[in-house]
Amino acid sequence: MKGAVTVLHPGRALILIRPLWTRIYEWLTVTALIARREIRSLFSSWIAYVTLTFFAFLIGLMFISILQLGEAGQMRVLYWNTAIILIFVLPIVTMRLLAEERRLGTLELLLTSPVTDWQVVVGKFSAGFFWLLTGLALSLYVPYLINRFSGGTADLGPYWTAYIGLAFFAAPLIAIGVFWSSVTDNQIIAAMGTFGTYLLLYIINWPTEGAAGWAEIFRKISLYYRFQDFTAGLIKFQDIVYYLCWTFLALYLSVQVLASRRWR
Amino acid sequence: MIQVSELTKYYGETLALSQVSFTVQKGEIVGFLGPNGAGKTTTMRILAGYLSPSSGSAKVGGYDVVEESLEVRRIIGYLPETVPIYSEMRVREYLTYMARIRGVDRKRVRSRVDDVIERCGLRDVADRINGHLSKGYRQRVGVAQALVHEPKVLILDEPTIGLDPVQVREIRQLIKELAGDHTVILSTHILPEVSMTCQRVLIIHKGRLIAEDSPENLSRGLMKSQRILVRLQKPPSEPLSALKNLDGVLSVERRDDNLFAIEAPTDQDLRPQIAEAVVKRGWGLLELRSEELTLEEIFINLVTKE
Amino acid sequence: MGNRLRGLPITKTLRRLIHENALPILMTIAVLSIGALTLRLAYPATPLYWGSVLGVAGLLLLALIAVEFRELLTFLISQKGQMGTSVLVSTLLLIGILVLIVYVADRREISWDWTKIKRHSLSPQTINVLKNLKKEVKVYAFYDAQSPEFPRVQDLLRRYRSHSAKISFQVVDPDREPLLAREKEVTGSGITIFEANGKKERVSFGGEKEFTGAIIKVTSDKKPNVYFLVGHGEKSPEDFGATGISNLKTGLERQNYIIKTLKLMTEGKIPADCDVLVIAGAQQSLLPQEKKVIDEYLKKGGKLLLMLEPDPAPSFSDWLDQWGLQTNPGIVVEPENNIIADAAAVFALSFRFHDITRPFQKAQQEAVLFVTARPLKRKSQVPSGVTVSELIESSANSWREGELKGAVRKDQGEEGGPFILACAVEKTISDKKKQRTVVIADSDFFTNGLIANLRNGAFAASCIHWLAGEDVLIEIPPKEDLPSRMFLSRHQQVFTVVWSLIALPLAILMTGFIVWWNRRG
Repeated sequence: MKGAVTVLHPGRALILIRPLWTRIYEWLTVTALIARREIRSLFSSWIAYVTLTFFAFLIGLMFISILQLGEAGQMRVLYWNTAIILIFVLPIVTMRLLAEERRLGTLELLLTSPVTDWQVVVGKFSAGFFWLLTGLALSLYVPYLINRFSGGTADLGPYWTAYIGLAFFAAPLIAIGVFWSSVTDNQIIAAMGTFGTYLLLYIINWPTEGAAGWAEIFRKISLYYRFQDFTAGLIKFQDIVYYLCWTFLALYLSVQVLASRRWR
Repeated sequence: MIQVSELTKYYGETLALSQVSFTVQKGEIVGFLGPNGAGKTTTMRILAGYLSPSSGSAKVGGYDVVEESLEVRRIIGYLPETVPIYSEMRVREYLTYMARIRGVDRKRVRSRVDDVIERCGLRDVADRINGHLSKGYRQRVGVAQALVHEPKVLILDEPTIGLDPVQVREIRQLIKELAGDHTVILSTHILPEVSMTCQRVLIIHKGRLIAEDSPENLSRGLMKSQRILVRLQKPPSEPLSALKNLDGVLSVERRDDNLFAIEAPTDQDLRPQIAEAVVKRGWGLLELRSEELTLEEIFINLVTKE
Repeated sequence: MGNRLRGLPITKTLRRLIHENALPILMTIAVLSIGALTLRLAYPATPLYWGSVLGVAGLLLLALIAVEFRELLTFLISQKGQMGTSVLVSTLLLIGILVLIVYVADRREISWDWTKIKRHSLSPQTINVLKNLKKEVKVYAFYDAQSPEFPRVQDLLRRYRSHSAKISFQVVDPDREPLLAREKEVTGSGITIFEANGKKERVSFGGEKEFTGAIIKVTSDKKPNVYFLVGHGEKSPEDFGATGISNLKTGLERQNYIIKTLKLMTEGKIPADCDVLVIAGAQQSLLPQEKKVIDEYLKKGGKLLLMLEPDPAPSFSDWLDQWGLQTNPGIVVEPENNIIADAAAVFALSFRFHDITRPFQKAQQEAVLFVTARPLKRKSQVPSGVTVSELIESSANSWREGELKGAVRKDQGEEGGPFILACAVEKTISDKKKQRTVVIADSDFFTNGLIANLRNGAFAASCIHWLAGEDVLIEIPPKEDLPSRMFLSRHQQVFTVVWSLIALPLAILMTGFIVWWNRRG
């Protein structure tokens, strides 16, 4: 049967025959390869370590100052601030993702390999996400110590939801970083653009404080507004959907920017 | 192996390629010749699936470069103009990664990488970091990555640019060895490179294909005359008439105190007569050779011919 | 010919001007649009500001398109234009789809509560109520959109709906939906209305406990029986005249009440299905036998709405005594707010906090008009087991006018206000049971002639609701954070500082340094 189909059209027909799960597996394998390479490259440059040190130090600082209050329930403030810190740190991590490849010329190599634009973008996104997970993992001593210090009375539920929330909150941020990194090969511009976009999406609900009516749309757009429930121990499906939609949109735009090289 | 028909590419308002058509047979080595900005890189990028043509079509190995871009990319090896290597990776690491990305079977990756390291003479630097390599080695790493997945078609954009003469020779040798198994299409703006490595030359100028032939035919057909250089130890104050009067000499030009350029028809070799004339007059013959036409001159010829 | 000479050069110059400055014009349009948006937010009430700015931007855009039409067209049919347009269109389409997804997801409440005390979940009691819900319940919550309560109530009601499809709700800002607010008789923020089968329940502010209670109330099938005592000159629900209370009867029947009259003299006992007994301003004293029957009824937890009339009507002082109240002859004169210049009229504005007055508390402008109110005061000592809650009082400037002869003014021996105009009395009769009585100092306010005034009808109904209300006692434990104090030993403190500020950051930095060192060679 394979022979018969091959006569019709070699490579393409074979792709159609292969079951869906093998195709997904192959898709993921290549994406993972790109992600792994990017992670190795990220963690062999100083950027990853300096940002992580900065991140861990600030969390430590907040941890100690909140610990002074002596109340485990107050710790949610730490995660609010962690989200803000991410707004400052993530642009530095994401700026290089695609811009570096562009600068080195390896993007041309990657895009002339049998790899789709989506695989490249998702691979880069995953690398950025890996940095985030590393950062969050390095702060896991916070719930551990809180549990120890409160003699096991602290309710750790809100801590775990805060971590889940941070992951979902950061996903669109990283995707926006990937987008800016795909637009320019100048990493400084990529970082500034990313930071500017974050800031815009962060403060966009400010005008709604006083105004009414359709200005409420801005509150809906604001990324930070939806984060607070997570730190209170509540995971809302709608918020997850919201963050995933943002992530998808930013990744889609990155893919479009990459694909635009063909016709620009 | 490669069929290109009426390929046209605009960058915004600028026309980069205009109605370029050619075919390349399996196992051929074809050179793409033209000055910078002629459209070589654009053509190669289209063939590699990096750009889409504005109109026209290109097929590589039977696959359309736009419609079946992924299939095309599976069977080509591409070396872009700026050698693209991740500077923080080690050579072997990098080649392994490229092999995996290009879809080499996991079990064969190791042997393939070893093979290209051997073939491209990278054994001594296999565990070095890319960023610390010399320009020549980087170029070889670039060629190695294009070969690692045994592509049917090799597209090499200026593979010898910026190399010293020894390295240039090595790379050329390598490319020659590849002929037969692979179809090679390479671009350059140096004529000897084409004549040394390629079986066929495509000359491209301002986005148009203006000539297509074997290197020998091309230079022969293009040269209305050949030029012979003579260096004398004791040149006379006015030797020009003596040379000019030789049979067949078209003109004589004094390049500097000791060097003279003699123009002669292509169907005649005047070197014996010139030597004799010089020795007879005791001017002290230091050097006597025929000069290759430069690409610029061929171009000027081609363009003026049009 | 002259026409051409005049017209053409100007158009040409203008076209050239626009064409050569296309980019600055585009930027101007962008700036103007942002400006219009800012103006729209800053002066939402004056559409002229942002409208005119947006209009100028629109005109500029039109001019630009008109001049650059040909160029635009060529661009659009070029490869770049085609691809760019298709990407733009597909991106807009995607944004549309994503907005729709978010919109749909935002209407649903699917959530996971990871707190130990289940702070964000409904209590098992509420979930049980919702599971057994058989009727459609419509909920209208009126909250100021800017207040933090707004999303809180929205989330809470979403949780209700996620447990029962019978619940449908709207959380609206009364200022933005004035028609709906008027229809539901809501003035001001913080009111939630529950409706089912024509029954209506208002909750002002409150949380899960109140909401669940309201749902139980509006969905219960029970039709409360209200008996009006007759035979002593009371206002009668059968009387359609100005002093009758047939309007109240119709109104209550519309709210699922069954209104009957009770001739205690002939029947001799209070029917067992009596939920509320009303004595609407008896003019003659009740017979001792009647009083005894009613005493029995009250002892068993029967509910009574007692409305007084000034002398010579009976004062019911023996009952009032038991409830810690006292009364004197005469009427209450309220000098404040009295615009109809009738000494007997009392505009009562000050509602005290109670379940009955909930619908009226928020808006201070609401009032009830009483006519000839009997002076009623709280005794200095209220018997144990009795709680008296004032519902409405007259102002401090009011006084008891003992004799209605001569000048109406505060004379010697006429004590001053405030007087109780209405109060709720709860008397403990057993551990779990409380007997409820509402005493109102006037019975005229809800007659056909006056019931349409101000909030008179609503207040009377509210009193009967409270009395007829089953004691929906759902105990929902308050969701307070479990305090978990942390006391750190000196050792622990030092460890924390060393670990989080020094050891961990340094370890990360060292790892980076080692990696860098290794890659150097």
